[in-house]
Amino acid sequence: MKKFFAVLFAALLIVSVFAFSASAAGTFGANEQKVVDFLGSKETYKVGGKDFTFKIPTNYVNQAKAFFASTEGDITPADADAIIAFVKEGEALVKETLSADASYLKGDTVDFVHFPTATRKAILDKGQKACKVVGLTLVFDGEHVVITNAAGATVFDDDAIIKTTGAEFNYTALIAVCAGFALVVVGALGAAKKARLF
Amino acid sequence: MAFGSILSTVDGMWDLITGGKEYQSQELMLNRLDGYTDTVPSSVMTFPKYGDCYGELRIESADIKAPLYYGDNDKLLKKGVCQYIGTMFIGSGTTVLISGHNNTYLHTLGEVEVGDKIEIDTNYGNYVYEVGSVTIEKANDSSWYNLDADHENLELYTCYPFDALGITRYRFCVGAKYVSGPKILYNE
Repeated sequence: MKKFFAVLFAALLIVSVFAFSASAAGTFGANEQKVVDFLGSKETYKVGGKDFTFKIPTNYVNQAKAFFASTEGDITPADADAIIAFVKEGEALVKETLSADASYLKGDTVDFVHFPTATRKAILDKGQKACKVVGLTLVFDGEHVVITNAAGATVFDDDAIIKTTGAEFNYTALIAVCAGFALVVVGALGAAKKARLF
Repeated sequence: MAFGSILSTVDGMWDLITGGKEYQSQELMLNRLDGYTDTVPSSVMTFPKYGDCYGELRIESADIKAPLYYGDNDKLLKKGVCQYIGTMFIGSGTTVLISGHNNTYLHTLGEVEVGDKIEIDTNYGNYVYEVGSVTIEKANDSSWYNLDADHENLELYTCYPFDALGITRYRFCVGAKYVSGPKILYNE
């Protein structure tokens, strides 16, 4: 589900036509609020006879809100309605796929990566082409989605929430140190043997 | 190349021993805004973009002073403490998630105690939080933070144990409640 939401988010962002500055003052307009409220809403429906709640993850919605808030002005009512309509269409694709095969639902997660290839491709193609229209670039490497603006600044990523924050283990350095130590030991042994120390 | 690698390892070990990088000033911060204490209209703020240094985090009780970056990729985590962009800007009235490496700026995070103050100066206002919890959590357990919180709070974490190298299963987590700082008025 994470990847599906990421691509949908990318697509809906580019439907809005607005210029933005990467570091700028911003306001959060009523139309943008309408979009964010919709993104944060939930819908429950039956999948395989069981209730399934469709909800875009909060960390994705927050990135949308942060993006809107940091841009000047507001999007138009028509753009807001278009974004909402587009997301609803995306949700319909998910519903259709799950209705056809409930096995795509793994617990609380939609197994998007295993959706039919054509369905996945349709969603990705839509997102990428739509991003290009307003200068956003969506990159999907098969695992992660990153959306950047024209200046190359990241405006969205679906990376893990909790990062690895431990000291980096430099394997190359360790091998080099061990190799160096081994050479020293061999050299010392050789010298000791030559000196008939043992 | 091997000699360079050895030097890099020694340098890294030195950081581990000394507690990491030194940081002297807030000059990195972009377009500093002064004078807002209770509220700040978003229309006058310079919002950070991914990769910007937009604040400084200090915990006096643990001798922590670090530049705060917006974004938390590997490159930024080497430069300071980092805000996850899936959480809203400080002052938005919800959860802010900040991380840092355990061998650099947050090497002494283990010295933090409940009741300690955490100060974050941003380019749009100065914030104070009070530590309410200090716990050790599993990295893949999301129950220790709530991104849907309807009140301003801070979650600060680093890898645990502090002397571990590489990927660790646990995080040292400091939860703090809001004390003061301007609330962002997004509609003004």
